Amino acid sequence: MSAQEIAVFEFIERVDNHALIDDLLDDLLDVVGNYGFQHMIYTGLPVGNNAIDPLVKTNRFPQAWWDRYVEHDYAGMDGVCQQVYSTMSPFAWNEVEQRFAEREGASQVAGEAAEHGLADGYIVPVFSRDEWLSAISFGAATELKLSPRERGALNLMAVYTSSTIERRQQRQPTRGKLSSREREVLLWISAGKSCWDVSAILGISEQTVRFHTAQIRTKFNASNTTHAVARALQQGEISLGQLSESLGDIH
Amino acid sequence: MIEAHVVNAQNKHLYEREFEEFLRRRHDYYAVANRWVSISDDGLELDPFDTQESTYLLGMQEGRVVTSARLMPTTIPNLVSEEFPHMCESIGLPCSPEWADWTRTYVLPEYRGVGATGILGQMFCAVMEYCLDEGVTHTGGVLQQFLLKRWLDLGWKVIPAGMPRILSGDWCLVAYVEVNETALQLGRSHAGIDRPLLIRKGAQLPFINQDKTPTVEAFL
Repeated sequence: MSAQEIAVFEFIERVDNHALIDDLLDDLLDVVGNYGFQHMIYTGLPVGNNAIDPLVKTNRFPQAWWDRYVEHDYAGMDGVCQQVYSTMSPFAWNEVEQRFAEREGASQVAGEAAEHGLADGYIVPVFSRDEWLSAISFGAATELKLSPRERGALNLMAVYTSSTIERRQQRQPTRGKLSSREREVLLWISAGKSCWDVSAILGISEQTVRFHTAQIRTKFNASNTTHAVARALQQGEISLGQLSESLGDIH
Repeated sequence: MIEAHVVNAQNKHLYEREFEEFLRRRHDYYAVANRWVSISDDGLELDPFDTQESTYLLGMQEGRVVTSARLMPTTIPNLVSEEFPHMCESIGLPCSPEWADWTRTYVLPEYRGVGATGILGQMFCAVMEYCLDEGVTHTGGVLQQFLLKRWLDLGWKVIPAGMPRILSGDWCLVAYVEVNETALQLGRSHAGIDRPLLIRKGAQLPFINQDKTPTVEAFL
C-alpha cells in the first residue's frame, strides 16, 4: 500500500477519537487533501421544494458559495444534487449524467461553483442513521481523474466520517427547537387530533394550543401544521418512533 | 421479534424442513429471479462453504425461517480466504479461531423494511450474541458499503480489512466488527430488543474447537 493509502486507514483508526467534530473535519480535510480535495459538506437532501440549509450536518464549503447556494435554492437545479435522488452509487461531479447536467440552471450552478473554487468534486450518497437520504460531498479546485482505488478510499472515509458525525451530534443535540410542551402538542396533532382534542387531553385551553401550533409553524417556517410535522420529522425534532407511539395511544 | 436458532452439524436434523424451505427461497431469489448464481438441479442454493464446519443462525418467526446468517472459523477455507484475499491489504488475511467469517446475511424479501427495528437489526444482534457466547472476538467478511454504514451507526467498532471495490456493480469491502458486551447492548438498544434472541436445541458444538491449538497468528 502507498503512504497515501496507509494514511486513510490511520484516519479511520482515530475517527472516533477527536475531541470536537471540527477537529475531525480538520483531520479529514488533511487526508482527502492528498487526493486533491479542499472542501467537504455532509448534508441531508431536501424533499420537494424544501430548503437544504436545515439539513446540513457539517459544512466546510467556502462560506460565500454556500450562502449563494442556499439563497438561490440551487439544490433544485444542481445536477450533482439531483442525481443523488436516482442513485446510491458515488460519482465525480464531472460525471453527472446528461439528463441532470442539461437541466435548467444546472450548468449555471456548476459554473458558479467553479468560480468559487469548486471546479470538481466527488459525492458519496448514504442513508443517515434515521434513514434520511444524505450525502457527503468533497470539493476540489481543479478537475480530477480519480482511479477506482482512490474512489474506494474516499468512500471509506465518507462512510466512517458520516456515521461518526451523526452519532456525536445525537449525543450533543444542538437543535432542540421545540419545547417539550410544543413537541407534545405536535405529536398529538400529527396523530390526527384537533386543537380542541389536544386542549382536553393536556388540560390546557384551546387558545393555548393554538398559540403553541403558531409557535411551531414559525419555528419551522412552515405554511401550515402538516408542513410543520413534515419538517419536524425531517429535522429529527420528532421521530417516527414517537409518532407511532402517539398513534398507538389512540387506536 | 425473531427467534435465532443455532444450527450446526450436530443438530441439523432437527431443522431439516425449515432449512430446506429457506434454501429454496434463497435459490428462488438469487438464482431464478436475479440470476446472480446458477440455477441448481435440486432448487436449493448451496456454495462450497456449506460444510460440516459451518454454523447457521436461522431467524424464525411463526415457525418460518425469515432470515439467516452463516458463521465459520477463519482458520478453514472461507469466502474471504478463497475469493477475496486481495481485499485484505490493510490488515492481512484473518486466520484465527477467534475471528469468524460471517456470510449469507439474508432476509426474505417480504420481511425487509427500513428502520433500525427491522429483521436485519435483529439478526445483527443475534450474531453478536452468538459470537459473545462462543468467545469469538471479531466477525465479518465481504459486505456492501451501505451495510458498513449500518454497522457503524449502531456504534459498533468496525475494522476495514482493505479498500472498497466494485463487485458485481456494488461497492463492497471486507470488514470485521469487534465483538464485546458493549456492542451487543448498543445493537439491542438500536433495534429495540430487550432480551436474548438465541435458541439452542439438541446437541451443540462449540464454535472454537478447544482441541486444536492455534498455530497461526491472527495477522499473516
